Amino acid sequence: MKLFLTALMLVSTPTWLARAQNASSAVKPVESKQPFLFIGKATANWLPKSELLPSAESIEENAKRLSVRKRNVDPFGLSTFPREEAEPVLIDETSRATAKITLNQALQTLRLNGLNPLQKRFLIGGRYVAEGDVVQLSYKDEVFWAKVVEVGATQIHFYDLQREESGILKHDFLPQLKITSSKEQSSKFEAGMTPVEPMTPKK
Amino acid sequence: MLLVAVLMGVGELEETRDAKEQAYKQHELRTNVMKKLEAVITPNRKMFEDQKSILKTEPGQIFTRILDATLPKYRDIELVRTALVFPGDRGRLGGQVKSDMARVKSSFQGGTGPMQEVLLQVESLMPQTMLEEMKISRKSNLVSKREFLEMELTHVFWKAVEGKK
Repeated sequence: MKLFLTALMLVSTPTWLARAQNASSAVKPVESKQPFLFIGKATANWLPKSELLPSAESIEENAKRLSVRKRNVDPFGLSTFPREEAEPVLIDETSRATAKITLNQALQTLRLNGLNPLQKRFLIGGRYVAEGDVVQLSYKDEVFWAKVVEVGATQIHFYDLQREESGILKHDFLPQLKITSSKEQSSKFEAGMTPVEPMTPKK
Repeated sequence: MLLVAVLMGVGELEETRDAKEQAYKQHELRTNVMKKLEAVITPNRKMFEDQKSILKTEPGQIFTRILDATLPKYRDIELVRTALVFPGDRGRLGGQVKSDMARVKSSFQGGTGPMQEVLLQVESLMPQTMLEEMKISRKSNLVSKREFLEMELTHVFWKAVEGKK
């Protein structure tokens, strides 16, 4: 009998231990102590002391019935709760890799000494360059072969044959006359004009 | 002669009695109605005091405090206040009534979700408020291309001035 009891204890002890361990290791449901989104009568001391004002819990309950809590997109077609991820990825299509040294940069080093618009040529140093000529430029260890495309009244157009790049060199050799319409010119004289009654033919 | 005088006296007494009985009945009726009315009003007396205490508060201040306490819970992309104005005129609703009132114009940028939650918060804590006007327009940031809603609200708050009945 004693042997039977000892055997029973030995058999049942691990079971109890296991149960005790299970009980202690059982994960208790952790009460989520998330702060309320809303403010109620008990959570703000600056509110008037009134029993009519609802508590934060009851406002939270009411908020569950809001339509925005049940839909992702609002009537305007946007997210009801905007998020960073929802933002469109910004792709700047206008950006492009820019060469370190361009023909334009090299052209700005030129010093024009004169310009003949009728003959479509200009003076660099002591040399005349005309339309169609190719000018060799050296700038920051780079060599440019700039062909003169057009000699204009305000700027000269170049085109680099090797780099297939165009450039502009502006100048102010010619006076910049303002082009105005004839209507503007005539309106200046309107102030000095006085209406004259039409002459009636004598009978 | 004596009999006639007695009869006339009795008649007058009866008239007086009828009039007094009528007055007494009316008094009884009024007392009963008052008792019934009192039974209905008494439990609500506390509520009237509560309502008065709410109506006596400065609505602009409470409105601002509610926004100050609620808006930091949202990120700028969700909801941000862009303007808060306290106009002096009575507006469309206030112009129709003689009651004391105050108005607040506010503008926000963000989404409808946070806006609806903030409005729930305001209207729960300020039962004296009424939304007079609401204008929502869809806007786009030119740089970031992000789209958002611009919401312009006008609230009316009914007030009770101290000592005014």
